[in-house]
Amino acid sequence: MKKLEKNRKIPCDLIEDFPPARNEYEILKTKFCGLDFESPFILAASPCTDEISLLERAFDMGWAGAVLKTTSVEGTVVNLAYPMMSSLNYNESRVVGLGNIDLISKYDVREVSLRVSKLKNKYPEKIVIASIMGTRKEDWQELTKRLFDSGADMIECSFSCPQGSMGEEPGKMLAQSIAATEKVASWVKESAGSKPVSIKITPQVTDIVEIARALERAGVDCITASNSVPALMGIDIENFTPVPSISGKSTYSGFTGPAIKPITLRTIAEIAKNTRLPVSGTGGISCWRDAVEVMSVGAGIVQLCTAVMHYGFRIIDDLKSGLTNYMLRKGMKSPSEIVGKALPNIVNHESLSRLKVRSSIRKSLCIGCGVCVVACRDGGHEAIGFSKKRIPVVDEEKCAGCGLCRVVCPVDGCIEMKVI
Amino acid sequence: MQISNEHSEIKNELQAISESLRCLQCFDAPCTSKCPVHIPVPRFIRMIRSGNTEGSVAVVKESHPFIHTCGEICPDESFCSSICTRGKIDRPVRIRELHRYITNFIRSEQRGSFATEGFKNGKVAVVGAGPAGLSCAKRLALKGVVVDVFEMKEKPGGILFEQIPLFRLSPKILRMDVHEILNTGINLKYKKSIEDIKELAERYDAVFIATGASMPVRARIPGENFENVWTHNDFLKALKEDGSRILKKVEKVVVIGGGNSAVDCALSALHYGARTAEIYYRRGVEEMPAWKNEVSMAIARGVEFHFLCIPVRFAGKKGKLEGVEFIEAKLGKAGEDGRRIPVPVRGSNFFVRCDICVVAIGSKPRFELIGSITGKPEFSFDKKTMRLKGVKGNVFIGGDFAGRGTVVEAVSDGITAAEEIYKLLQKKYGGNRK
Repeated sequence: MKKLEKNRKIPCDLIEDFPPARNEYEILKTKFCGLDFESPFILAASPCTDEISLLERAFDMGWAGAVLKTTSVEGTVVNLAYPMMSSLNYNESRVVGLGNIDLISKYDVREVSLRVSKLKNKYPEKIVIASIMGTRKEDWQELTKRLFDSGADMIECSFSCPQGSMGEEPGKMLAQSIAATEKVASWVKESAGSKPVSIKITPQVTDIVEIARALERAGVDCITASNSVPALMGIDIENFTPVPSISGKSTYSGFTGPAIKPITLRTIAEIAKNTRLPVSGTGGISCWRDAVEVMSVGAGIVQLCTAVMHYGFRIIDDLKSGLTNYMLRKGMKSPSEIVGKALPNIVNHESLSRLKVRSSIRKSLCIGCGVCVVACRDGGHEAIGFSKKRIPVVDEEKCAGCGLCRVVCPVDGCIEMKVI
Repeated sequence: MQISNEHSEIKNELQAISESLRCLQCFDAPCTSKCPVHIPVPRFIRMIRSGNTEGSVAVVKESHPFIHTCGEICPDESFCSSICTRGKIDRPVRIRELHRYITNFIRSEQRGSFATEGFKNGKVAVVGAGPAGLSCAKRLALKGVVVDVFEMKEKPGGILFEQIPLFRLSPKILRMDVHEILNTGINLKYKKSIEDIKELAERYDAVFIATGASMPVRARIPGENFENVWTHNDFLKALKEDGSRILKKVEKVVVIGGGNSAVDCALSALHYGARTAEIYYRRGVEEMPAWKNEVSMAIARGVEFHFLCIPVRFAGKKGKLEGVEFIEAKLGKAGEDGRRIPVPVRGSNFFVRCDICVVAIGSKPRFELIGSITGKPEFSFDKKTMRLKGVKGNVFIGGDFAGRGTVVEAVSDGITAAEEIYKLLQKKYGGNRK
């Protein structure tokens, strides 16, 4: 096995992709669920964390930890279908969202336990989280025990694989049932004892707060919010086969990547506002800015996957340096200062103040494209006129202040919504 | 133009979509207003974005009968791209390249038949089968009008066929446009030189004159009859027919003039094998009427420019040219056209040896044509309708004959005149009978 892994190493001419991990990011040290993270950036359970060589490379490059790809008890059949990936492209951007019909790891708990202990031996300062999925009570508890015994710092339970969790209702996600969520979570916590347990939930529920409260009752330590969103990635309109096409057939994918960030933000904000559980934020984080956003609505650490699958482990250097520079600029001493910072500003619609605002166009910045004119004419209030010299003029009487013009304007800062 | 844009050519769908996404989709788009034929640029670009290239082609075709040709030679820097709003953010959208890309797309699948609008009256004569004449003829033919086109030469295309150098416009491309125009069912009569417009105006419901500017302006200095002194029209024509033979063993070509045809002559000379080509212009670089990027392309290709030089005489022996004598000039007061007049500097004469000299100082239309109907050599016309003033009202003019400089403007004239003529016919025969 050792020999095999050595052979799998990537040739060294790609060395520029492997910047040595730098230790100047003391400021990023994060305490989360009683564990010490070098930085708030860890890898989410995914193909990126399924092989030991990948994990070693990620740790060498400076990732603070990883959630290993979900494992299960011996004898679990993992019947993968290929190809599994598909992409939502928009305009010129590739992988605005990624679709995946992957299942759990093909490695069972015996193999994963070995890996956990090996990793912890080699990288004692990195956080290794094992992700599990089971059917019966005994499975969940045995998985938890064995993985903690082999040195895992934390257990994450996948209650939300978009292909359906195993167990009570096949094809349905565990985290879509309040009762099942509470029951299974308490089994795992019972087995874990004082060690930290996180439950990975789905945003695809009627009320995320109910699920979070059930987990709070079960006594778990953390929520991983949230998993990929069940989605149909697209249809090939030439032959009406869905993507990714597997002999002309397909199924619903788990949808991740930049496109789902707004869903993740809403999910985490609702959990953080209504429970006291720490949140491990994941879903659509691509850069340090996204991480700051996700932390500001309540996530203590962040997990990345799609961005790494697209651009590689090397993105960690920008994540760390970008966050550090941001914190220095803001005078922050620890990432924990960001956590929940935006929450007080998220309120119900009724609580919003009713101001009179009007669109105000800065002529000095206006390039005269008239895109705001069309948008307001056909999607707003017919409030923007266009002079012969191609200068948009807002009719203050007609302008309702909706802000559509500001959204479509190609020049940042050209259109502002002014309170009158 | 093809040459200057080699580096920015859009070669595949990926590049086309990428460029089309740069378009801001302006309201009341300035590019469309600036285009002489008002191609709805944002509309055709929007269709490229969605992968609807066929729709995109249809949009451009609707407003332009010479889409292939203009994709190659339209000076978009003077029209759409010059005013593109995107230029205020970074750089203009490469509109002509996108246009060219979609026309490339249909080169393989020409469609032949056309539905006319069903108007079955009227008979119109078009004189000259160049860009203006053919555009007018096509527009009318599509409306169901019978159109007779009279062409002096044996082939259609006018200046495009005769003078635009091959390296700018391949005959294949031109043929595609012309074929499509001829498919509309116009009657093209070759080798028909029209002298009597008056007779034509009586025989037909309307006449459109677009015979171009075929009379080159003379230098009016001694020695113009030497064997190797050419007018730019003849020079370009001859090079197109047999350039390499004419320029065999030619060391130096001197071109007199500062317009686009002067630049064309110099570039063609180099293209067909002349060792050096030099342009002598009597005013300064700022006053040059040639397009800026044409000039920079010529410089890049090795054409030498000499400014403020007025030709004095051609020198030679036994009827053969040996060189040109110039006198240096400085710019004096502004003349009637607002441009400063060059004044010779006394005693600054100098001599330039050369094998061939091309006089490229402009062309004028054959005004006599109109004299037959107006009775006098000068004429005036209504720029909105292209209608000739002072005659019965059924004579229209356009293109270089009306003093235009570009193909796209000529096309625009042809279309304008066609619409006016159609109005006239409707009045005469009463509406659109379907």
